[in-house]
Amino acid sequence: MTRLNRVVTYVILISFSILVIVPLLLLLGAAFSPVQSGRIDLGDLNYSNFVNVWREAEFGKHLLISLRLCTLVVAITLIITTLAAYAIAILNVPGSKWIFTIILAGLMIPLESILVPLYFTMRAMPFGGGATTLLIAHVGLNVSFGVFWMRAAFLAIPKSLIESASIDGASPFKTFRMIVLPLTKPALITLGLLTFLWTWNDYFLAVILITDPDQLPVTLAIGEFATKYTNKYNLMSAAAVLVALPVVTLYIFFQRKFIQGVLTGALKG
Amino acid sequence: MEQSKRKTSGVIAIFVAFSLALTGCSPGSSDSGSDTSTVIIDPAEMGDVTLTVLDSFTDNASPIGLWMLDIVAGFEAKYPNIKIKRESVQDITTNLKLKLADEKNTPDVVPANQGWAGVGDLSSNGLLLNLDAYDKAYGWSEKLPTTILQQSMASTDGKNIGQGSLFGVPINQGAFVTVFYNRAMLTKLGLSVPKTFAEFEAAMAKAKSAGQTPMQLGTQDGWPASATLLALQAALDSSDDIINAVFATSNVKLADTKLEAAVTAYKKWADSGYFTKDFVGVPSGTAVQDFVDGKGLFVIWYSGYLPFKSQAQGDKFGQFLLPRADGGALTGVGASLQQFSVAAKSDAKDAAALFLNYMASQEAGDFAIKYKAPPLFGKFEASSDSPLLNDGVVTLNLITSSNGYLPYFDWATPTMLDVMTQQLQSLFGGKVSPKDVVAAMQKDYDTFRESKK
Amino acid sequence: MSASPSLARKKKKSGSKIGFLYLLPALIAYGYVVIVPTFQSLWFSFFKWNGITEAQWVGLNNYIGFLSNPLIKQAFSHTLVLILFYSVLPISLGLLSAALISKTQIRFSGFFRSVIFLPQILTSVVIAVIWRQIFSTDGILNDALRAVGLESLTQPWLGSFTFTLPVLGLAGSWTTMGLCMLLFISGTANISTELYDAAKLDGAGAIREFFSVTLPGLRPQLAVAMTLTLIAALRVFDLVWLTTRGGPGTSSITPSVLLYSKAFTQSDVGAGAAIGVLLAILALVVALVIVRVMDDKD
Repeated sequence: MTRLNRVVTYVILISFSILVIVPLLLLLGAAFSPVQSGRIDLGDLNYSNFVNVWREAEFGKHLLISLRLCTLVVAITLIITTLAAYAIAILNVPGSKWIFTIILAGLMIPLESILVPLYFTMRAMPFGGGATTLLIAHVGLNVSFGVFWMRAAFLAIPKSLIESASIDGASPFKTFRMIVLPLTKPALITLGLLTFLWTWNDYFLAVILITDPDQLPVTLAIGEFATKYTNKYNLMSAAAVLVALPVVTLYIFFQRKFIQGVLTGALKG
Repeated sequence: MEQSKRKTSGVIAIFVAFSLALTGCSPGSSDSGSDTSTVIIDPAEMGDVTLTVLDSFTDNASPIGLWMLDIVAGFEAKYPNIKIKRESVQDITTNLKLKLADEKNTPDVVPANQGWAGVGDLSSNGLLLNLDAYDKAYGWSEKLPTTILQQSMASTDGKNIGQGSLFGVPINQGAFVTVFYNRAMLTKLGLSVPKTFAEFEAAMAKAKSAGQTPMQLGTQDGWPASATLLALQAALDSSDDIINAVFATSNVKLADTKLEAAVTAYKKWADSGYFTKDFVGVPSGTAVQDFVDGKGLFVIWYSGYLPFKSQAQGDKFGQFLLPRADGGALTGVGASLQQFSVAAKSDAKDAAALFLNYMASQEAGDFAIKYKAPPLFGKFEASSDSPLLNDGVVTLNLITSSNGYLPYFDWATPTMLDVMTQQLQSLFGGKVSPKDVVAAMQKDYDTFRESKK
Repeated sequence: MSASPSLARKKKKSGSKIGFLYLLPALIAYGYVVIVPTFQSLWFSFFKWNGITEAQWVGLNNYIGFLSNPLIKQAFSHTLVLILFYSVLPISLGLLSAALISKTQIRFSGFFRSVIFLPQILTSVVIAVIWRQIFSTDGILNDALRAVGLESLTQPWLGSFTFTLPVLGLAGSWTTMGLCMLLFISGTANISTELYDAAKLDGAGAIREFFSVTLPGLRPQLAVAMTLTLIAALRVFDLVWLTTRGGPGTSSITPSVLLYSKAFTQSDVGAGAAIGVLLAILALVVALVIVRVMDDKD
């Protein structure tokens, strides 16, 4: 019985893996294909698509914009959400229960409900239409999950450690820096990775907030690229590979954290 | 607990009040554009100005991109006290309106598309400068063909286009809805350039029986499907009916025009297999590229917009306007490739008008010829070294002499292009009949005219 | 332990002052980006506004207009179809896999897990490029059909009124499938084997085992999978926008696509905001219903 079970198990796992891998291999193959239609020709692997995409679509510039944006978003999000979570979970600021509920509610509000007014408020800002708008938007949107995540991590710290620190006369900030943060480093890393992922992958928010063609993040740039070069599948595939590369690289090194983060985050929510 | 409850409900109240304050009790403002009574056309009197010009010509290697570079360089050389600062816009339809409403950062010169979706909408919202005073000073109405200039006009009460005051100036580069043909393939099929509508259809039939794709077409991405319909309308319908319908200068019922005949012809061509195989799933970019790569005898597209890699490649093809079915004088859907307007909130109105004037000058037309693009007004000879361009100039001269410029039908309402797109896709999907298409377009037309009463 | 109570209270008081400062940046960002716009959306939805000139109060007219608007109904009916592909299909497959998969150690489990989860970390743009290529008229699907002699079955997949929405749905399934599978597989690992043993003792066959042990044990995962995938189906924008823009005709429009076109292309900001409000309400209802149903079963 268990032998059959094991065979079935492997069949299922392998089939799904194939289902996932094949389209990706097609993409990769097309990216290296010299033929416009992206027909794969293993005998004639061609790097020129990547070079062309880099030059023609100025992909380097847009990759940099995305990188800068995501790094800033991650840094700022980590800072403000850990501070806020600390205030809620450890410092027990009065009213924190209500404040946390309000923050949690944000997890339920879909992007679509705030997009329209967000566009108009951002437009009135002096830097409207540029990457700064997107930066602020992403930071604001990440508060809900960030606070939720770090609060859970902080609550898991044994109270005795915190109490003994305050008895020893440590200021709240010192406790934060010396005890709480080091103990929750894994959670911090996961939060950083997830924030990077969501910011990098975003399209809808960017398409609405960014109007300056010189400040397109890479997802938007490839979207524009797709409309300009609909039939040059090989170029588009190369561009897609470039867009996916940073995140996939992070994923390869941190798979456990990514998967765990999404699964446990979803469950706890 | 009570205290914290009150605290947070207080915080919520502050947020709500704050958000309402941000938008004002009702969103939007009732600001209207200012009026110019004194105009300056002498550049010396303008002093040092920085003019912000917004455009969508982001591809610096395309003819229009190169043209724009020459225009800016030429203008700055001619008027050294005026500096041009160029800004790019991605999608004119979505973002322009809001850019213009932004008092602090509005560009001075903006590209507004002709028709309701562009000039009509923007001028009726008070976002564009009324250029009548400049028109008197520069004499555009005398120098430029009225049927072209009409495309940049709108009434000051916001109810009509094609009449009233001038709100923009077209550039000296033309875009016609044209038939392109593959010279080599035409010769190989033993055909010559069709001189009548019947000859054109016969040519397509011949190509099909020879195993070639008679006409490249791709409608998966929507709006390009309308190009062929526009060409058919121009060849089958009366020019008066089209002009009157688009500019609402008289009450035209679409069912009384030859619109249905045009749609039926379009469907007939599809059913006869004259188009690319499975064209409903092919994006227009692919179809057009395939044509340029030598597959297909004809393609109906906008002049100056085929993705040729070089002049040599371009000259393998020729262009002509679809002959009229009734054998009458040539008519074709044609307009300036782009018309530009001045933002109502601009702080450099005089310099902006001067720039518009330059973009419509003979010099601008010469730049167009230089980049093998068809100009629009002025005197031009079909004597360049590019057969394709010469075809375009010949067409241009013919249309000018027969005064056969027709407006794009989708200018009739702000949503007409969407309606045409969806209806045509439904037509080819077998969901609606040509009669239904006409009815849907009439409904959109009527709804819009109602809102303008 | 030796500090006096008043000193401890003093520390707590000053701690709370600093605490508020710690909270402030996050609250400001959150308020500005999420809370305020949420109320503004509601506010905007009561007006008819073109984004520039003065707005006109219309009360609930935008919403009432939706009841008779065929496009809105069509968009939401498409959402129902998408739910089939984003939710029902992946969850069923995930449950089936969880039921069939051996509870014992599997080799290369880490590899399988990483691969199957991969689509979740790809951006929608990349996914659109991949699937647009596969379903294009000269793409791999049609090529494969031609290769096995089924030329007659080839279609213009993304240009056909019948196939465009299901095809996009399939791309969606591909995206959410991995998440569901992993959720359920890791979930079953937490169901104690004692329950299974007890069931076997009771003479339960594989099917009964599934319904009486596995399924209830996966209740939290099921709730999460349903919430995530249902809301994902509700929100579809990127995939449609980057492949068909809602076409051909209007056969693949979704509420989000309609929101974008109303608010930003057709200058009907009030209607766009109203759609946004509707989506928020629906998302909330979905979450609440799922929580309620899951709790009830207890």
